[in-house]
Amino acid sequence: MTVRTASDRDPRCDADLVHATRRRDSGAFEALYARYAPVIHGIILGRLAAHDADDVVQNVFITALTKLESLREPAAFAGWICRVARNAAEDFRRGSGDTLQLDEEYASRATQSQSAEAAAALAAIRALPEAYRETLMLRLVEGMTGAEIAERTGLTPGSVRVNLHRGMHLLRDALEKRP
Amino acid sequence: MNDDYLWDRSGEPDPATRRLEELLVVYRYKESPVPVQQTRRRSALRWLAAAAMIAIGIIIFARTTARNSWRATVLSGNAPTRVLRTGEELNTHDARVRLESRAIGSIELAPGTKLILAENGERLHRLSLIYGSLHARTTSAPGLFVVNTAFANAVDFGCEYTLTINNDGSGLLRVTAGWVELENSRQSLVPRGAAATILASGELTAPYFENAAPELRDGVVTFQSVRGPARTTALINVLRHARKRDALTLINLFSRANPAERLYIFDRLNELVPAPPGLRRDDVLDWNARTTEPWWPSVVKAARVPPIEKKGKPGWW
Repeated sequence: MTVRTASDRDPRCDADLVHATRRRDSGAFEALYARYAPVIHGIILGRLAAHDADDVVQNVFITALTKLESLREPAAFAGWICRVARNAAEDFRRGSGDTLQLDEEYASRATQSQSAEAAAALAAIRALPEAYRETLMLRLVEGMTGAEIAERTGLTPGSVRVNLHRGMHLLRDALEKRP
Repeated sequence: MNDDYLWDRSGEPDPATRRLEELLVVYRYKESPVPVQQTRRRSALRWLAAAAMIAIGIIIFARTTARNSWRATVLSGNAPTRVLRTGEELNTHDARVRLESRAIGSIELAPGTKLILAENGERLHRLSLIYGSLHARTTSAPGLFVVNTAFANAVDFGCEYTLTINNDGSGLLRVTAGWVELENSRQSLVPRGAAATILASGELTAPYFENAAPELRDGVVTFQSVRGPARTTALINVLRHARKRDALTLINLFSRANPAERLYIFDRLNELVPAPPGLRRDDVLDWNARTTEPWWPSVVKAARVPPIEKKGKPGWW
């Protein structure tokens, strides 16, 4: 099955897009960017403050574009760029310190109480083990379906289903225990 | 808990999942191809700047004498030469007009150009270009002649150049001799054979040689105009197509790039013109104007442009 988000209208598969990008087809790179930016954003948001996430997303794609030649199997682009994103987030966090408390300010486009509740929910997701954290970020923040998460991260649909189910249980417990 | 809804949003929505989705949507990734907010803010600044220029012009006008003036000559037709006094506004309409000053040199104005002679003193001659195009050929000392625009000032360093400003404040500076400094909160030092663009957002691009690859020239402008994939592609295109003399463009990108982008700029610039001893790759992560100062002399040499004559200015950035 192939799934496409609204901003991902290029019918080519990842491997074709990778090959085309290597041939300096900027349209192909933009298609990869549109397809994977929400995934990368979700992964990074699990590790960094919201206001830093957009910049780091861009940095991930710079790295991807300049190191694409090192990707041996173009069809494995999904798992590869997710690893690049995790490494970029960790590098950024080491270099800038922890500024996660600014999430509430970032969410202030909602009402004040909603901002606090949203920031608390985000913090609770971040506190989950990595597998659950990333899967729930992609589902609840980025709005992806389980099938999309599986395709974009390289996980099996079964693993995603388990991560969603167990992760939601842990998240609910954490939010209920919140003072 | 409804696992179907959690999986693909099918079936009856689970209230707890639905609530979390509603709360967390504010953090969702948003495509942002153009920095719209910045444009709006800059637009307000543009009007403020324009108002300030006009106010300055009016104040100075009240204090002027006929001695502080330029001669304006319509190049087509038989209209008499007249003296342009400080604070006066000149609109060329359909004609080409030449402004001449013994102290500065000759300025040719294209049809459809509007400017104010804002200042005309011993230490500074200043034109405020509202819109249109001027071609300046100066013989004055560096720093004596300045053209204000809504977003930037063009400071002459003994040169010949063409400056075009559109109605929205955007524009283009093309230098054919010497150097011109284009400045606002950023700075672009533009040498002979190079150009720099003033974006509608008020940003100044890095200077780029007009005989550089089209991918580089377009990339320099796009890099500062958009975000997302187009910005990334633009940067990569600039780096890939940079020749040795385009090191001048690359060194100007440090101030316009984020830390990760600076590393890639460093790598390519270092290939073209080796970094000076003591400057390490990681130093550009915390870039400030002094970080790459020692690199400038070898970059200017590689660009094959004459050394700049710059009085009383602190550095290259």
